[in-house]
Amino acid sequence: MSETPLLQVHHLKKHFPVTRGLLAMKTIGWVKAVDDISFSVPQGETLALVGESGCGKTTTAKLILRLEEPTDGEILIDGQPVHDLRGNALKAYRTAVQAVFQDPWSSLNPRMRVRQIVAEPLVINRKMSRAAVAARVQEVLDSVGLRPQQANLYPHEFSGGQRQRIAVASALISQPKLIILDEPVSALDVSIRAQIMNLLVDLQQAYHVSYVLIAHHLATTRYMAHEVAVMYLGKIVERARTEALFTEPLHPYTRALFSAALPGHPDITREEIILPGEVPSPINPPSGCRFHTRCPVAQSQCAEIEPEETDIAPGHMVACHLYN
Amino acid sequence: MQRYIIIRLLQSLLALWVMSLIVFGLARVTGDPIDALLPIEATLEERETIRRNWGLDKPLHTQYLVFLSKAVRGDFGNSWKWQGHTAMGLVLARLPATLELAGVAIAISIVLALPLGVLAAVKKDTLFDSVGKMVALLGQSLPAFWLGIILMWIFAVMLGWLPTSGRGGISRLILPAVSLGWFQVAVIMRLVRSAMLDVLDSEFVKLTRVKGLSEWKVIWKHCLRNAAIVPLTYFAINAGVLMTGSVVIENVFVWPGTGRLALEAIQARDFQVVQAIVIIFATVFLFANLIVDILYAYLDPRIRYQ
Amino acid sequence: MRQARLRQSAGLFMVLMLLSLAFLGGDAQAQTREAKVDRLVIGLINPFRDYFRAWISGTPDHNIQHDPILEWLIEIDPDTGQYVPWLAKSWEMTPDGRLWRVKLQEGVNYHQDYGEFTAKDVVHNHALWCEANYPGRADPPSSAYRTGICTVERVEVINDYEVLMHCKEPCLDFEFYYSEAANVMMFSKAQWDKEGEMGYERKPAGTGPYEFKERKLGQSVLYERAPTPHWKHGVVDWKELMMTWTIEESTRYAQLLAGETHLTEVNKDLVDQLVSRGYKLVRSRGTAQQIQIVFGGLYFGTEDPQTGRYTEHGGITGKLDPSEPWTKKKVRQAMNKAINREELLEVLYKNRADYMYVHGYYPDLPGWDPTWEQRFPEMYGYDPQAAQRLLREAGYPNGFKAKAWLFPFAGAPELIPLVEAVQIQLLDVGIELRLEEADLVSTIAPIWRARKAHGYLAAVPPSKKAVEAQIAVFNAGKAGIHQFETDEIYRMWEELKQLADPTERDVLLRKIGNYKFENFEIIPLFNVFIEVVVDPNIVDDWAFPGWDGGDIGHTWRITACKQEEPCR
Repeated sequence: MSETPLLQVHHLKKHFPVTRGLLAMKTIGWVKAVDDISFSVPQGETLALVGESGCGKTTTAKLILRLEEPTDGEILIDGQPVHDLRGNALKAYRTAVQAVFQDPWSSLNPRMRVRQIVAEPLVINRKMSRAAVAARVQEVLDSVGLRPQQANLYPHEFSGGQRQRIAVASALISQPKLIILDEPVSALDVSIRAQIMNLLVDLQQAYHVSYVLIAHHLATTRYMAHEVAVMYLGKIVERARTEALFTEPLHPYTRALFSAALPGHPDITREEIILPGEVPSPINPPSGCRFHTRCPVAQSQCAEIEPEETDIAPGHMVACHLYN
Repeated sequence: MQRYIIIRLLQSLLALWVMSLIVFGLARVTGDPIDALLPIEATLEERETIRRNWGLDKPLHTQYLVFLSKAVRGDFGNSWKWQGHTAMGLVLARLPATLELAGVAIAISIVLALPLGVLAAVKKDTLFDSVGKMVALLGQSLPAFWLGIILMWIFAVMLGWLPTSGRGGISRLILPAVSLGWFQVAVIMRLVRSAMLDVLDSEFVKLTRVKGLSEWKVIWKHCLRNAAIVPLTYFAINAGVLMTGSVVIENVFVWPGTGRLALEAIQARDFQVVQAIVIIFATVFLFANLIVDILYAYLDPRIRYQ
Repeated sequence: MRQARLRQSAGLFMVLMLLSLAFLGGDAQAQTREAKVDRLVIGLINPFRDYFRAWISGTPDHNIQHDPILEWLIEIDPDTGQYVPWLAKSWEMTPDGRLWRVKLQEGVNYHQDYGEFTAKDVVHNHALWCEANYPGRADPPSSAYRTGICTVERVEVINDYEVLMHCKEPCLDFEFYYSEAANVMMFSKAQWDKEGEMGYERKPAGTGPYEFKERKLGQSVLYERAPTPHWKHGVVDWKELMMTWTIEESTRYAQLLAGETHLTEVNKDLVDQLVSRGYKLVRSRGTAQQIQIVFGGLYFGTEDPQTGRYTEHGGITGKLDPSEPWTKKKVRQAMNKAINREELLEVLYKNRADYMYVHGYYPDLPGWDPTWEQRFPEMYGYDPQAAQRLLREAGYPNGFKAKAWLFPFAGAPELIPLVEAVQIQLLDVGIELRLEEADLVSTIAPIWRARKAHGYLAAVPPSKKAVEAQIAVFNAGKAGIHQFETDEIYRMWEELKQLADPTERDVLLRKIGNYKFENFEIIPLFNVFIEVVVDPNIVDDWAFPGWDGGDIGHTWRITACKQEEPCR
């Protein structure tokens, strides 16, 4: 495919100032939440961002959604830089990029009825007649498996799984090209998770929509994602097509992550790699390779030189001195 | 919903009945009412006559039953200090003045505090927020009565822009309403600020931004409606305070409301009027709470169908 | 020669000057400019009662509300303090003191076309006070002065302008009780017949220079000048008169400064501030109140149910506690001599009060003894060493402990710092006074009434009244205070009530006065004036006697300033 990828992220950085002071704020340091990452997502595919909490994946999602401004780098949708958009272009962007958040209990306005919540993106960004809006609402509720009678109810009258469906419906109604899914099933009961994941996959097939999936549960990732990027302390340490990554993880961190995950079958035994220590603070990331303080196979150069992103195989990138 | 309202109504009536007991008892506990009704130089014979006329020679429970049977019909007897007026008549005559003052004070405080609170929340940790916090601090620590006198001094005496006191026309309403509302501005502002901060952080608010809603609409349409429940709660508690706290303001500004009436009635031991006032205050307070509870249910659908 | 001519021309010059001045002055007098404002606004403190029907209760402390519209039989002349004719043209007492022949003013008409003031109105107003079941009157009359007022048993009508007041016993104080010092103002019988009792509240008709216009309950009363010139005062200065009541001191102050009131009562400390800002202090022509400290527990009298002596309020047998220090005369004298009155006068009253000598006695009232002034310094005057000597002689070489009540009194806020100052002064001679805050109505008055006030001092400001009334109220148990009761004083008072001859009465009153004086009945302090502050631009003067029932009256004597310059 030679067409432009839907989403392109080039050398994205986000540093948050750490301030002190009562009346006048003084900056005494920076939290380097996202520190030079790059990836792209073609139309109709899913990229998963995985990593421990604090690795910067949520911040990346916010940057893509324009909930934060990048400190450096750029984000392109259909080749257009995202953060300069104004006016109608901005509205078009909002229509094209939507999101579903993690907590089904707080992501819906308790004061609004479901049909209002679902209709909101249309109402805000497009001029459509009431009838047309209502028709779309019915359509999209149907596609997430909810009945039209439920449209008039309030969010608190639904279960967690149903609420996520509503959230998905609301994300879908404007026919977006990209939906950011921030841990969409982690707050749900295990039994419901499969349903929602299936729904999302079906919708992708039906509407050819791209997903950026943020997850820390690897099974979800494997099921839904075409490509996976592993993040650590604001950097992508490995990125590959899903199967390639799962069959042969290369980066020591990726390996440790995978070993910590529960195996698919109780009989499968694995050697668990336990990483010493805690994730360092993003205010003062370690020098050189950020992972070196916990890496079981760290070499002397890892503490001094930051490893470059290298393509080991087509579509499989690693940032590690082991593979330079 | 109806059941909810009915239960709340019954609770209010019960509270009112207990109030009547307390009020009745108190007026008689603080000494012989005759002492307050007559001058020191009154003769014994005169005291007995008055005592008989007012039914104060009957046993206490008889007096209470008489009191209750009349009170239910709105008859609180005649005032002593204001001869020729019934106690309830006096209170009802003065009530509009107090409600007017309290109402305008609330209006002023909302009009000022709401945007201030919202802005302080939105511009959290900036200079605006710090200034807002200072304003709130001042508002809560400056006594209303002192503020009233200072405002009177500046605007009525030094500048001559407004009249000093009395009731009649908007110009006389401004100073007392501002003095009364000042404290409210501070409190409501802080409440709105913290409620807004809570809501601003919610996931659905972030989502609404993602859906493309402009920031102002996010704040006013989504956040504020959800945050509004907190200051509303405050109002319920505050209704009572505004009615009675206005005693001081009414005194300073010679505002002919129930607050001043209460003060004068208490000083003159006109206990018929005191009883009437307390019962009216209690009723207003309970009623305000009832309204707020109903509004809760309306505002927050989750409460409705408990 | 030349000198003579100089003198001549000087003399001529002087005459010319005088003539021209007289001409100019006369010209100025010929101008009758109106007052500078149409409505005079008077700022008062606290309306004692918010209604007009004076017989219901209370002292005449709220006479001021009646003053512009209603009139009394007898006036008290502000300048001389004497009783002068008013609605009563003349009055004459028979030698036995039991009958007064009163001739009424003719041609005096009530407002609202209620006809002429005649004898029927006098009968009516007397009955309102004294008749037990007067038809149409809802509440029974009650007041400290009622006994005195109703010593007049019956009013006999001779003709429209002449009545006979029959007293059940000698009523030499008739003039007091029917003057503006008490509260028998002449309401209209015709209005009563037509409108009933509440007509007196809705729109009372009187004979005064102003008519009632409107009352805003708790706020103000508005009067307007009567359409026709008044029979006595002609055309009064103001088109409208408004009285407002404001309890809060600073608000009253602000009202005056903002020009919303033109005349106001303020407490003494603010008076100086206002005067320094250019306002004018006007005070009552005579003193209106006495300030004194009362010794609790001086219950020396013996109860006698036969004669009804001291039988009110539960009698007094055995109530005296001889162990209380100030039941001894020497101790009372010592305490008097420990007080530095000069200092109190200067600090608390800014030297604007007079000294008092005996409770209830005033220089312009019967019974006054001019020798008191001379004897006072030696007997009562400040001398701490003499005080300590007296205490030693009385058996208290190291002083003793006692208590004093502190309570706010409307219109006399200086009483509290007064007692505090006295506490310090008494400490100098070894008397330790513990101050207790208490409520007058609920705590102190019942204790007084029950004759249980042993060991408590209290500062009280009794207002000016007829001397006999003072003795009855304070010394003969006729009210609740029981200031100083002895068999001797009671006997003298009983005798007093039977006297008809004014001269004999005066002698006996003086005897009683001396008895009180020599027995150190109280700690007498000051005679104070009622002070008001006026805007000299608007108001020129106000002549009022100071004992319009313990209140201010004579509102028709508020004269407007009609010149360009403020009237100083």
